This record gives sequence, C-alpha cells and structure tokens, in this order.
Amino acid sequence: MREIKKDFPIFSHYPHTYLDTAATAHKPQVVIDAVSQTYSETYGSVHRGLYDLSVRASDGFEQARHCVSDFIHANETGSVVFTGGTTDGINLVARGVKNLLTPGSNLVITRMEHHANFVPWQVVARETGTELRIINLTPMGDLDMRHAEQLIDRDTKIVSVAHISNLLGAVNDVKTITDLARKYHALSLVDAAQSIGHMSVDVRELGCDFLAFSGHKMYGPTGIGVLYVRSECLEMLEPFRYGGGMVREVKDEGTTYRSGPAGFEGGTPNLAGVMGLAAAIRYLQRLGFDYIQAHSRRLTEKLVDMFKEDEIKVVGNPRSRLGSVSFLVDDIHPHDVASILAGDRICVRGGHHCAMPLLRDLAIPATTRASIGIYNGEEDIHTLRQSLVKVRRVFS
Amino acid sequence: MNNTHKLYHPLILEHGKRPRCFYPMDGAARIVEAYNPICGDQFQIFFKEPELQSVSEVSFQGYGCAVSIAASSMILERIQGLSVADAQRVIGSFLQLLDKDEDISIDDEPLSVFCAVRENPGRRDCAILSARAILTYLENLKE
Repeated sequence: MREIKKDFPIFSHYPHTYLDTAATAHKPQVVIDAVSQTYSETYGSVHRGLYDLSVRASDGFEQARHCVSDFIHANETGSVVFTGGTTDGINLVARGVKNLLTPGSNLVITRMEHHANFVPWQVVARETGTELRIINLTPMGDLDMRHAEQLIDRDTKIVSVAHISNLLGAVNDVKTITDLARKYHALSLVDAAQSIGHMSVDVRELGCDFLAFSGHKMYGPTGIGVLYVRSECLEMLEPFRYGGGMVREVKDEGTTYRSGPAGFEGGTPNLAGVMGLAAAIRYLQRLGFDYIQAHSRRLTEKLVDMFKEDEIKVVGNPRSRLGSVSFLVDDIHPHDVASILAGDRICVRGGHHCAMPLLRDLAIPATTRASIGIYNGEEDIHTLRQSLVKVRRVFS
Repeated sequence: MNNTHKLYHPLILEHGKRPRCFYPMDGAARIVEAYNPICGDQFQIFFKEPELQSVSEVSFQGYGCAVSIAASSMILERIQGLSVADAQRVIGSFLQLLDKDEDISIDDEPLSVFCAVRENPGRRDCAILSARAILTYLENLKE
C-alpha cells in the first residue's frame, strides 16, 4: 500500500504524529477539493431554485445521498437523513420517539456511551417519566450481555448502543442487542461514530432501526452527519428541526410535513459538507475496508502491546478492540502526559473523553487516549513510545 | 527546549508532587469548589474564617494535573495570612500574568514560574482554576 499520509496535506504543512482520530480525523486532499470545488464550481441552493446551478447542486446532493446509502447498505431497508453530526442525529431520534415514551416504559443505553448517546436519553427520560436503564460492563470492558437480557423487556421502547466505545475501543456485539430489542418490539439505535472509519458498517447485518455517524471522524468535513432510518420508522418519527424545506403545506392553523428524509432536513442543507462526505466515502472505498479494518486492528494491537511491554496501564481488556486505546502512565495526570507529548508534536487526547459515567464506574478521573487513523503507521507508535519515556523522566 | 518543557519548571513539578496546604480542613467555615468540566479537574478549597478581614487559614484537596495542583498550592501558600484585599491583589496579578494579551511580569518570584503558561494556552485553564475560584469568592465577600 502506497503511503497514505501523502494524501493528507496537513502532514506536509505541519509535520506531526496524529493519534487523535477518535476525536476527529484529518482530511485527504480529495475531500478538501470536493468542498472547495462545490463552493467554486457547483454551488447553489439545493431543492429551491430553477436555475442551472441549483439543479446541479440538487443533483449532487441526492447523488451523495445514494453514495451514503450504498456505503452503509441501506438501499433496500431505509433512508439516509443528513444531519449536523452524530450528536444531532441521536438528538433527532430522542426527540422523534418522545411520544412513544410514557411512565412505566423504559429506554436502555449502556455504561460506555459517549455523552452524545447518554445525555439526550437522560433528558427525554426525565421529561416523559420513562425509566432510563443502563447496561453494565464486565470487568474486562465488554457489555454485560446477561445484564442486557435483564434490562431489555416488554416495556422497553428503544435501546441505544455504541458500535465501538470511544474510550475503551471495545467493539460491541451490536447484533445481539438489536435482536434483543426486536424480540420485545423495541426500537434500536447504533452510534457508529467510532466504527464508521474503521470497518464496514452494514445496517442490514446490524439489524438496527437507526444508525448515526459523523462525517468528520471518517475523513470528511465537520458539520455533516448521517442518520439512517429504517423505512418502517420514518413515519412514526416526529420531526425535530422545524422550518423551511421540511414542510408540505403551511397554513395559519397548522402545518403538514414532507415524508421521507426531507421531513427531517429543515433549513438550507450543508451542500459542501455532503459533497465532502461523499468524497470521503469514495476515498475509503478505494482503499477498501478489508485493508482499513486490518490496518486499524494491527495498529491498535501494536499500541496495546507497546503499552504492556512498557508497563503502561491499558484501560479495559475487551474481547475485540478497534481504533482507540486509553492508558495511564503511572500516576501522572493525563493532561500532563498529553502536554509533554504535544511538545513533541504528538497529538493524543487527555481527559474524560465525554464518557464521565464510564470513568466514574471505572473509578478513574481521566485517561490519555491514543487512537488510530488510516494515515498512521508503526513509526507513529514508535514516536509515541519514545516520547512517553520523556514523560516519565520529567515526572520521575 | 520547547514551550511544553518550559512549562514544567522544577518548582511547578515540586509543588505538583508535594502540594502545600493540601488537606481537608475540619470545621472549615466555607468550602469553595473549583471545577473544570472540560478536563474534570476538581478541587475543594477550605477557608477557616471567611468572615474576617484576612485569609487566616486556607487549604485544598482534590484531583488535578501537575499544573493545576502546583498553581493551587503556590497561590494558597502565598495568600495564607494576607488581608482579603492583599490576597485579591496577589491573585489578580497572577491572573494578569497568565493572560496572553498582557505583557507584564510580576515581582512575585515563585509565581512568575507560571509565565510559560502564556506559551501553552491549552494549559491556562489548569493554572488559573483555583485562583479564579478563590478570587470570585473573595470578591463576593464584599457584597
């Protein structure tokens, strides 16, 4: 495989070791070009103009929707709604199913959720008097499936679960969870923010009703995301963002809404973001997910092995780990670790990783996290290793 | 030496490892919380007798990085026994020192080691965490 780093201009403009893809990924030139070309060559109002630029913009927008739909294998089962990102998509569903939630019913999430898949459910549960149930983890850091079986029952309305934990890197057995949900006629949502850039995501295989992800973690632009909605769920989902573009007819006495994805896309759409996202998808498809996943797995394992060899504590030991590894260097605060690494132009994340309920459960205030992208190589892990020696020296 | 390594001045490392005034105070009259929701650093700052005109005894405990612990330790050590007005002045000039837009130095030798924070803006919130909480508390005493 040719050197992928060369596709990402930021590495030549600012040489550095980037191990923070779980927070946000760098952008290949093809994505930057797609965004730039949209604004400089094909920009226009989507679905709102009769002039040629608008028609071309609208065509590009809908082609991108097809591209996303192919990407997650959604053509036969549901629709792609463009959102602002994963957080936006999950909020859309949490608000959209609110009418299903009543006192006596429950909704189920897990202990390892990012705040984006925790707080919206906590809020909507409080507003509706619904019980919020949280699936525990095993001591290794996997979902406790026996606990899941206890929590998901005939009063469960929706189950929302991360495909991959942003803190532990644990790859969850999502299919078992969605099967459980379906058994009790509950809906299911998969937060694919951390998996979408590392593995082939197939909504048919996952068996979910909703799936949310962001463009920026899969080498696309910020401010664009995707919510997959299974066809049968489109009608029951209440609109979330009211305004222009999502309405059928507006009268003084009331408004009717468009059916399909358009009913959830109020406001002027993010055309450049959508075009950049489609370019990112084509880029990943050219590399192929067989290669991408194998690469991510190999480097994730290398990271874990390196930490273990150097007696750096790795947080969790899940059966399958992809992309992210959280670690603790002796008793040195993660911010101090991240700061000294930053001095060597190594980018990692230090802090709570928007996963406070998980850290509280683990009785750890914060961790440092290294995460892998397609541009990383073993040399990046070696650079990290060298710099961690320095961290220990400063705090010895 | 790059900016990050300048940040870890021996005095900061020393206070980070062995903070002064670092104990929970029995019978504290007031407990002020200093919390940074972005990184999770969290201290409780104990005041023995807040109603008086001076900071007679002050201590802290909690969780933080070397920079936030060292800054808390050195600030608390510095204001111990000062009048409320003097404590405010010390903390005020410390906060000014860390302001990237303020080109000043302070003659407070120990606290001036935090100058390097200006070159590491990502760590400014660590250094000012306790100072800001204490200053807010002292200012509210007047009302």
